[in-house]
Amino acid sequence: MKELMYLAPEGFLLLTIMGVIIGELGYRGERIRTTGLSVILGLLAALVQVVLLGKYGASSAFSGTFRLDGVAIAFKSISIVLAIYVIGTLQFSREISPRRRGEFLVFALTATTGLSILASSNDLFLIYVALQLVSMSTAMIAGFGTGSVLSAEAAIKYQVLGAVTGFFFLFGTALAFGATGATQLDLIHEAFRSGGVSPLLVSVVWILLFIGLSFHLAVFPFHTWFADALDGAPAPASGFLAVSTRLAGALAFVRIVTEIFGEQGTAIGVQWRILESFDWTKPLAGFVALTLLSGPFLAISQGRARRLVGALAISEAGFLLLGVLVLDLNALAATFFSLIIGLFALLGSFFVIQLLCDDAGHDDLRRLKDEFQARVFESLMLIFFLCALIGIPPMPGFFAKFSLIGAAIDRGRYFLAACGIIAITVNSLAITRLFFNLMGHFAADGSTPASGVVAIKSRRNGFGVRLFLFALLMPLVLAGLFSDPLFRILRVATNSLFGG
Amino acid sequence: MNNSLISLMLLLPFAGAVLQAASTFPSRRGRGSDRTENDPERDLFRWVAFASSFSSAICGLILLFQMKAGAADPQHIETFSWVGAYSISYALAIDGMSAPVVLLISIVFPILVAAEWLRPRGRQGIHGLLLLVQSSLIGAVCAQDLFLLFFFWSLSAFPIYFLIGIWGGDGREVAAFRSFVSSSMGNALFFGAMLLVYYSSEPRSFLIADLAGRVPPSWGFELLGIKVAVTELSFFLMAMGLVFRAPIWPFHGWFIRSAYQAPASVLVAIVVMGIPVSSLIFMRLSLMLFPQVFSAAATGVVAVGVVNIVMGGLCALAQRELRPLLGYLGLGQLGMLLLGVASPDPAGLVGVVYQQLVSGLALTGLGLLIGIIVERANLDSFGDIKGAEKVTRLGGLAHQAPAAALVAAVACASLLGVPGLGGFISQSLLMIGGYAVNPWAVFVAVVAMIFTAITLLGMYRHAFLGELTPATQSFSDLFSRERLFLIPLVFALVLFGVYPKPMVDLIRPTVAKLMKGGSP
Repeated sequence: MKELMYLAPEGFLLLTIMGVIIGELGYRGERIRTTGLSVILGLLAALVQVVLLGKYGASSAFSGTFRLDGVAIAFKSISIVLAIYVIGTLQFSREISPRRRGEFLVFALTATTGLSILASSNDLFLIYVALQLVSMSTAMIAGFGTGSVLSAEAAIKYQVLGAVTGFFFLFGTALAFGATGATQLDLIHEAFRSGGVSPLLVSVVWILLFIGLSFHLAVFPFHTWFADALDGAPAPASGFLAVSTRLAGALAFVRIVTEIFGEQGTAIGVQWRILESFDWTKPLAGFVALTLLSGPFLAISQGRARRLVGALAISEAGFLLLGVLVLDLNALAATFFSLIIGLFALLGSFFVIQLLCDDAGHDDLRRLKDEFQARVFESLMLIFFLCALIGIPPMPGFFAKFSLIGAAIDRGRYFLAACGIIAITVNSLAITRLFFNLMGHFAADGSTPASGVVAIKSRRNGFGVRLFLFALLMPLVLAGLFSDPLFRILRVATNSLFGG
Repeated sequence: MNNSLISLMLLLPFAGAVLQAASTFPSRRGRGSDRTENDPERDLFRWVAFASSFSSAICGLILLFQMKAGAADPQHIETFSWVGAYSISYALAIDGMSAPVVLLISIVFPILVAAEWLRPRGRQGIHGLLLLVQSSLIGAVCAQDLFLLFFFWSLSAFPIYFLIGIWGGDGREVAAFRSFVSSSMGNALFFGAMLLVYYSSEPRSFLIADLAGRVPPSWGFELLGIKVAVTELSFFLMAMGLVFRAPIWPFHGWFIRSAYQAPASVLVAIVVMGIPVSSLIFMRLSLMLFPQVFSAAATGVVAVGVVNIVMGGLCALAQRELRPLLGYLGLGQLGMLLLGVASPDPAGLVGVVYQQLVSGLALTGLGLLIGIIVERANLDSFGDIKGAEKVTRLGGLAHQAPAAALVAAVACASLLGVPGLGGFISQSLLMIGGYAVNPWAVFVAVVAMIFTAITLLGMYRHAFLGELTPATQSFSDLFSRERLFLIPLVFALVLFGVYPKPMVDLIRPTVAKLMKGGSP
């Protein structure tokens, strides 16, 4: 019975999904549609369950397949918070009609359930199933752009690539099972460590799992789908897709690397050692460097706002992977910090881009001139969100970058540290370019905007939009102001990976 | 015991900036930028901007007057832990070295706010961003924690980018972009230096006083087969980081372009950030964190300074427009500072600190005056440009505007080191300090200064003396408001020229202690 309690958040999420389906089926054109509110209530109930699970402490269930530790609780909470915010972006979307919002919510909640399961997975098969649940649901959401060829292309590209890389992951799982007779992460690790498995096979398993996970995290060279999918999907879906795939990829990477391919160091709770039979960090360092550098240089050459944000997120994936590579407590805590900042910053960025798209009908940077004039507050918010995302000092994301680059220096990875610094610098230039395009003719000479965007703004500058932006802004501001206590909490959560 | 007045000095402009930002929100009377010129709410916000800047300046002056002369240690300390996990502290203080720059910021920024009093469009924005620059520069100058210093120093780059990009001239986009590219590169290199210093010190700390001497000179690593000492690499990264944020030849392109495009008040803010503040940070960190490396690199630093003086002087000689001329004068002034920074004689360092104050004041006066001239005459060329008509240049301004001519004369004279003005004291000390070790450098600098003298005197002759041109026929003299904010600058330049003792007494103990190898 106690083991079933561990599944309470997922249970509430499933109940919420059922509630949405029943509600939408029973909808007969009433004036008020209560789906959004009921979903928020369901998600809040699931969040309460996650908090209540904290009292059990670090434990496992279902023969060790399901783990409940600090990281699991943190990620479950983050996933649910993500879903709550996505409902907000959905309410203001013009791209997705109210009629289709119910469907959207069902898929978003399914992906959230997948993320929640993934947070507790201690088994390669369970990780595979959870990842597929996330990627399939998100791919459905990506195709929600009515009548948009780009949206359909985004959905198909994401679906097909997700399936192909999923096969790599599955094949790696099968090989690991064949060699060790287990799919549980800790048991595979024990088998690898005992020396009974050939190092070549360990390397192949690592490569296959890495390919499977790199797709989700948009690591170079598996990043090509990312900007396309974000560009084609409707804005609420872009935000959800960008955040959920990052969460899923980072979480799976952390679990697999710390449980299978890493060993606790002598100073427990400080850092890991790599598996003696196979040094996977050298090839990974190359991918980290390439991801860190490819994202910013892609970003600076993008012509559309969504693609630009997507490219920035690719470079952020490099930072997340840097945390996994460096493998110490501070770096992993910083990775989680970065994910939290990324959640609000990416959702906020896509939300503002959604508003700009609604006004201008496109997100072409060259044609966004004067949007700053029409939407000063929203444009500044967009710049703030992006600066927070890439960690320009003194924005909140900077503390995460500082910790990650510092940890790289601490472990003697100076080249990666230099790549990280270059990434932040070039990313900031890409944001500058975006700002120039937004600013357009905001001149001191009193010239008026060329387009008719000012007339449009009065229709959209509602209290609700500002309130929602404020709700996205506040967590970032608080994370910046109280980065120390937040880091402490994340370190405690990360420490649970050591059984601490 | 913590002195909260120093935090108040830092936070008041920030609070003012937040209030200016709040004014852009829609109210019952409409969005801030939509309101008319005579709207009392707009009037209120400019008074709020001035009050926050001025009250911060008052806090700064109170702190300076309360400083104990003869004390080398930092005073008015306020410190508490900020990010405990990384030993990052919020630690602010003023010592003899930072006091003159605090005074400079306190004098200059309320004046800049006043100079933008009548801007017809986006006034709240420009006031808010100038206040943010004031706050961040105070933070960078007073920070006793390396992380806090970097925090404020990098923060100062953002408002400048917006200030040029929004309120600049026709080429503002390129100027702002180049300025931001340069400052981003500078910040990135500085960040790298900071991380290296932090992670190579044991026990780890960001407090500058704690870091002094804590990085073992022998500590290093291999990069591509070459043995690299951390102190050398950190010093190089820190110095290059500041080079990109200061007008140093050949990385000065962004500065000159900003001088062309930025409004006068913004140009002055850039000058204060790029010359006195950046040189102070360089001096403080070099002497405290890398004394041995700095001593070894002293000749190189002097050489960079001399090149800056020579190139600044030669380029200024070729200018026929006021704004780029001011930019190249800035190059020369920074070169002078570098000449003294590397001097092992305390007189040289005292001269540097004094020069930071007086050259900042003189360039502010000249910069604001150029802004007024450009605004009224709608041109800034003072010399005969080949092929151009006489109508396109300034001339005989002293007939029409004697008060403006007086301000320009005092500022130029101070920059040239005329006795009785602040520049004379600082440049004399610099030369005395520099001559002891690098007489050749002083000789070259003096020769190069002759170019600057020819340029400034030529500019004054063409623009202020001589005959009136069609462009200056209807030029009006300084208004009362303009006199009100330019007079304090002239007064300060004269005061620091005739009575330097209090300031020199404040600077000397800190500098002397620093040169003996102890942190102040």
